[in-house]
Amino acid sequence: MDFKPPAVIDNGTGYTKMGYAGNVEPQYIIPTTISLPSSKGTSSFVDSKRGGVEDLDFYIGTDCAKHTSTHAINYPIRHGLIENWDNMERLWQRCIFDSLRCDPQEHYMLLTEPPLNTPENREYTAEIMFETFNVPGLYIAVQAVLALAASWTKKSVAERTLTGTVIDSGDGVTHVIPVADGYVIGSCIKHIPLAGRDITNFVQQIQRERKEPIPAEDSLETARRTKEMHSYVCPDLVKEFAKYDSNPQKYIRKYEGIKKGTGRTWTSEVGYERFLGPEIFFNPEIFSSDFLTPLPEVVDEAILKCPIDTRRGLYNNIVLSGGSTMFKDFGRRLNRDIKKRVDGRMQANLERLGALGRTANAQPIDVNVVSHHMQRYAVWFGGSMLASTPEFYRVCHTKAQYDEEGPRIARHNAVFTAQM
Amino acid sequence: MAWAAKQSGASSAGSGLMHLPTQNSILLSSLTPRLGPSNLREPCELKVSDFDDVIYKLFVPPEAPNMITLHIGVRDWSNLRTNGGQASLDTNFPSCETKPDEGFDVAVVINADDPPKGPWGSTGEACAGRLADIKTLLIGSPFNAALQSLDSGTSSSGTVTCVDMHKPTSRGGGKCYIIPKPDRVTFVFAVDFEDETDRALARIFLQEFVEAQRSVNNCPPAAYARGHEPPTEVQGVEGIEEDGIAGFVSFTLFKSHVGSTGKREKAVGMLVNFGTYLQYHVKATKTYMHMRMRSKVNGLLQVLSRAKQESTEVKEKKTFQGKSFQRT
Repeated sequence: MDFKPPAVIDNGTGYTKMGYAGNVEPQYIIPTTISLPSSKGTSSFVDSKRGGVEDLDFYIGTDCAKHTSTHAINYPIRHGLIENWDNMERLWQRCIFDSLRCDPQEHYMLLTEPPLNTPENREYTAEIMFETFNVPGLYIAVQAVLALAASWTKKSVAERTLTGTVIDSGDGVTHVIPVADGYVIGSCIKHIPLAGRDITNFVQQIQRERKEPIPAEDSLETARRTKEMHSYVCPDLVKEFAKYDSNPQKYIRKYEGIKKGTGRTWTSEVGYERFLGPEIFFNPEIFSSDFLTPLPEVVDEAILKCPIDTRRGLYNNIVLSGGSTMFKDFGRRLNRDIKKRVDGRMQANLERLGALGRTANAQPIDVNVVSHHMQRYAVWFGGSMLASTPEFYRVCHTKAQYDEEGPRIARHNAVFTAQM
Repeated sequence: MAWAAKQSGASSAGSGLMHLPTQNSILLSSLTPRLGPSNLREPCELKVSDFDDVIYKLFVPPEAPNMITLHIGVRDWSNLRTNGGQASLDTNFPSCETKPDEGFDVAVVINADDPPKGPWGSTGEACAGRLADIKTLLIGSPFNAALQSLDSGTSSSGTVTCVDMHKPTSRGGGKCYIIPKPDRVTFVFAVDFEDETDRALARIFLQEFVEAQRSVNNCPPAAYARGHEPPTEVQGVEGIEEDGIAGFVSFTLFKSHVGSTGKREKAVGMLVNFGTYLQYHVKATKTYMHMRMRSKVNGLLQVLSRAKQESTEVKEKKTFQGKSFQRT
């Protein structure tokens, strides 16, 4: 078979990651946006005059920002689900032809979907891919499963499993998704309304309250950069404060920026926000007043809701994915906190049994949080890995199948038949 | 009609993306920082693909981060090589050629500390730009050679060259025939699509395209011939009747079209990209039709929901006090 790498496109709510399978990094990370001429309504194209190219007059991704005066920006994906199919089809058209430069008839395609995607949406996706682009084969993978696959880099072949809990934290929202043998346990998914954007806001708030000399227009950007460059997760909040107070030179960093317009440089200090930012996952009360459950507790609750025979596997393989899980020691702290809860509960149960005059030997539960290098683009990387294996071609829906059966083939996922 | 802008080369602002660029933007974005002023020295292994069955592997070894090797896999290289491919490789990347990896046909190695000097200039950035455009350079070499000899006046009614542009469908297509004459060169593209809908769309598109071409000044004349009826220029070529199922498009370029190097390079880029251009527009047309279909369905649904009859049966209602009454 000739070398024709499949194209992997991961359309997220905020960013679209795309590239060819077999590479380590996605070739493009662009905002999932499309900008359309703002003078016309979306429905006026029907009576556009013959022979025009109005239907090609749009921009996607980073180009959107350059044409804000003439074009209005649209977000075709909301909360992970595709909402506007017209715009999505055009976005894919541009991704395939302009960005990836692949002839869609020659390359297999791997797309991703959020957990709890509707079957109608998958059918619609298949319809567009097969009918418009004539792709030879298509696979629609669940993002959480790809994130699990991405963590395989750290393990030996024997340990590669599709059972685990995925903690996916991007910019907008954090999900905790239990997956058993490649099957997403939909009823046990938990959402946390805290993610990257909230950390940035919190850092900004701290800096503002401390009256750091940051120009107002750079305030958000500074907070974001501070979060990305200097933040980490501390093991103990009180001790960390003490450490900073006793030895400020060692821990307090400097941030330098250039003021737009005047071009003058300014410096600000980066202090407690270094560890306070990511702390909102573990002590949400410091930031939010309506969501108060710490992340380890949410993870624990999600796993406890799952079928009892899957729980050990779910505790044993907690996989991180998304940019907001990149903080140093995030995995270690999460591991410790979950372990503490699990062990505490087991101890309490044993004591209760003891009080009743019975004994039991419980096997301790292994809690294992997996961190790896590919966390930021874990979903894309998992897709790239999957698509470069020979099995990928076996599990794909092919054009021939589509022509035979129609879009309903997209309802079926080959991962399950492989195991039955 | 705006399609005709293809040959005039006008891409007016606001008309959206009508032509796909000839450069590979993925290659460009990884080559520019390495060859340009930022002097990035990082190892890299990148496998990407391009139109017309071209594949690339960009490799920068960790032990020598200034040596950039680009492996290229291209269709029908043995034919291209003899038809000017080797020559354009030698002029553009002198003594850069190296042994390609398994599965690739050509390889070029560039020392980022000392980028080769070619006809494009001597800066590293220009070199990166040229390298990202190497597909046009290789596949376009027979086109370039034919146009060059037309420009220099050495063109003669010689043999017909056939370039295997992209993968043929199960029935044919994917080839371009170059017919040199003393005063002009004719390029005949045999077009076919695997999908029946695509084929029909391509036929209509090409007819419109040729129609529109006439209204543009100074552009090379284009002609469309239906499938199985090859134009006179290529009649007699073996197997030609079976080749262009969706049709044949021919462009005739005269000396005035290739007067300068810039003009010639542009023409070569356009010709090499023609198949992709057609493919892109056929797919975009389908997207456009889907959009219209969706909006039509929405309109019909609206009509349906408006036409929903209100229930006619008489309902018994009660007032606040508890008295009942009938409302019609």
